[in-house]
Amino acid sequence: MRDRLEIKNLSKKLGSRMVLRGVSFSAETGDLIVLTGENGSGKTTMLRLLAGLSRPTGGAVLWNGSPYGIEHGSIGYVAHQPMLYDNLTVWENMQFFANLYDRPLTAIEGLLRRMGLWVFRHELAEILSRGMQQRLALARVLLMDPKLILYDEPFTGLDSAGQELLREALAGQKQKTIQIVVSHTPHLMAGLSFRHLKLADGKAHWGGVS
Amino acid sequence: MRLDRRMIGLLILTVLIVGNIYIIGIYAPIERTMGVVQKVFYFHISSAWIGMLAFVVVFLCSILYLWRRSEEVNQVAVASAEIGVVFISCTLLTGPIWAYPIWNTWWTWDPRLTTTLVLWFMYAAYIALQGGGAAENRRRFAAVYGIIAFINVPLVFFSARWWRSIHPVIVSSEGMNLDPRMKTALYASIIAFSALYVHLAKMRLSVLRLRKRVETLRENLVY
Amino acid sequence: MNGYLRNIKVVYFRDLKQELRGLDEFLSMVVFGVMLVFITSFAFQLTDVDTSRILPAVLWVTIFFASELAVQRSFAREKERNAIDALLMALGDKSVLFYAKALANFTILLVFGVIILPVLWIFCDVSLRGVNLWLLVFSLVWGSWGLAAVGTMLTAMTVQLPNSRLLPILMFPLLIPLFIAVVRCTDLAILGVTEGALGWVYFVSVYDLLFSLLPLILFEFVLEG
Repeated sequence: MRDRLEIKNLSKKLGSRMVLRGVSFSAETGDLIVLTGENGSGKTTMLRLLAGLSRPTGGAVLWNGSPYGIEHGSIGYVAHQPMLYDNLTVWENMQFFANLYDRPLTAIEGLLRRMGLWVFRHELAEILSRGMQQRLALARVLLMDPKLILYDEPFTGLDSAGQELLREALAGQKQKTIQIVVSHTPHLMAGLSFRHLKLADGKAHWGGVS
Repeated sequence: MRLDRRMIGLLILTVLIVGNIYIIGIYAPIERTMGVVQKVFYFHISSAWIGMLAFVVVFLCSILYLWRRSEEVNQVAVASAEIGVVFISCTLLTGPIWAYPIWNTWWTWDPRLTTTLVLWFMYAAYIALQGGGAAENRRRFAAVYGIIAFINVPLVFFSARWWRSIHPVIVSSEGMNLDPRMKTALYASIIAFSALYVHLAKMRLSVLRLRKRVETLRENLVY
Repeated sequence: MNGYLRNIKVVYFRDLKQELRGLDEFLSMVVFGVMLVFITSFAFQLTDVDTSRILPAVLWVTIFFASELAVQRSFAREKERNAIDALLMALGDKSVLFYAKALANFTILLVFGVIILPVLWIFCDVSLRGVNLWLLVFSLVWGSWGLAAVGTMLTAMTVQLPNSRLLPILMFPLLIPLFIAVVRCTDLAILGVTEGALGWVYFVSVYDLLFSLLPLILFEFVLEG
């Protein structure tokens, strides 16, 4: 079944500033959307609203027609921060989230191997480099069975091998999910067909299709 | 036109307060055993009343804020808490002035005294949590705190009362038979204080609104 | 419902694992507690007070102050790398986080209390005869739970405020009823007096129940973001 995400007239006020003033767009399973915009145009705010981590000032996020109808644990979020526990090992981090997502622990090994993290599995997350943490964050998202994946500048900190892994992940999830990528470097996603959404003045405008 | 209405309000308030001072000072009789110091009682009770009233307002506004998320409601809560803390301070200060000559002690762990002091602490914490109140999360947290703190008040009172009831009760202000003129003075001062509360709340609210407007204007200039 | 309890369990055990891994923090809390107990009982010795009567007061003042350190730590871990966001997205109900954290903090405080109590007992030179052990255990357990519940709720707020030192001033006024009640309970337990104890037992239970159920409604607002 194709899921439908609909954003209706979404607005968000941070402090006394309206960051988003009526953003509307919609997407369906299979869509890959690249979200761009200047610094401070509200891209991260937008992702947090979609993730349900922040409450909109006005408007609604509809999932198949119902507000926040998406069941919990179905939204993957690769945020700017890796969202990991420093004093747990790589394996324990994955294990913890696998338990919460109700996933078999057997899935972890394959993912860690794929991300090149298997050799580090008994290391604490705090000693990992930025790029490695980013890979781990990606592995955590792929661990569950997301229907919507949000990426906040996922390419930063990744080496070329890491970038390749990320492109593979984006392509691999393409048919199953709606993916929204905030990125200043859409050229790194060459070869993937995506739609371009630009945030400016608190509103969203569709750009071209690549 | 607006100015006129405000002037009338101010006039009524002035009349009420001056009248109240007259009633307390001249009309109400001097208590036989306690003497003139008993007059502080009118201010004491009225301040406590306003402190409680303001706290109820904070509680109601907190619920309303979580429900409707209106900044106006939060401003009412802030104004109320600020006025409340001032009046509770008055209660706590006038208490000993009255108590010392009568009970021969500045402070006793009477349930009412204890509760009033805890109330003061919670008000102070509430205002600190609002922290000037520009940030949305601070308003939200303060609302949550306002609700919990209100629920806590009866708990404080009962725990303090129970604890005292195990020990011998040293002092009790129960069963004070008031002269009818004293009662009149008490009611008059409660009315006057309530009017003062309303007036102060309105003034504080207009300041908060202006500040909000200045902030919005500045933000709009920057972005 | 099964998922709810399972998630509480998962988060609870992960919290304890992290606590054990950073054991030095817990140990410094214990050292702080022992020191506080030592200084207070010593101070009372200097003023010639019957120290056998001060035990309940010193015990709970110490646990109350130490609790602030414990609860603060538990949410700081979540915020470090914003792991709390991933956690909240995985949990359907935010109150799961409250109960897991409160349970973890409760466990830590209970262990702390069990370590502190004998030390204090020796310092204060209290006779063991006639002690009502059940009441003592009750006050330690229920007192720690109440503390953990209130503390967890409030740290969830203060941790989100920039370099805020608000926790103690928010926490202690709310804890005063509990403080009065558990000090009374402990006192009666040591004296071995059962008369009047039941009332306090009920009181602590009501307090604990109230502050365990309120977050069910209010915790949602605290972590709204």
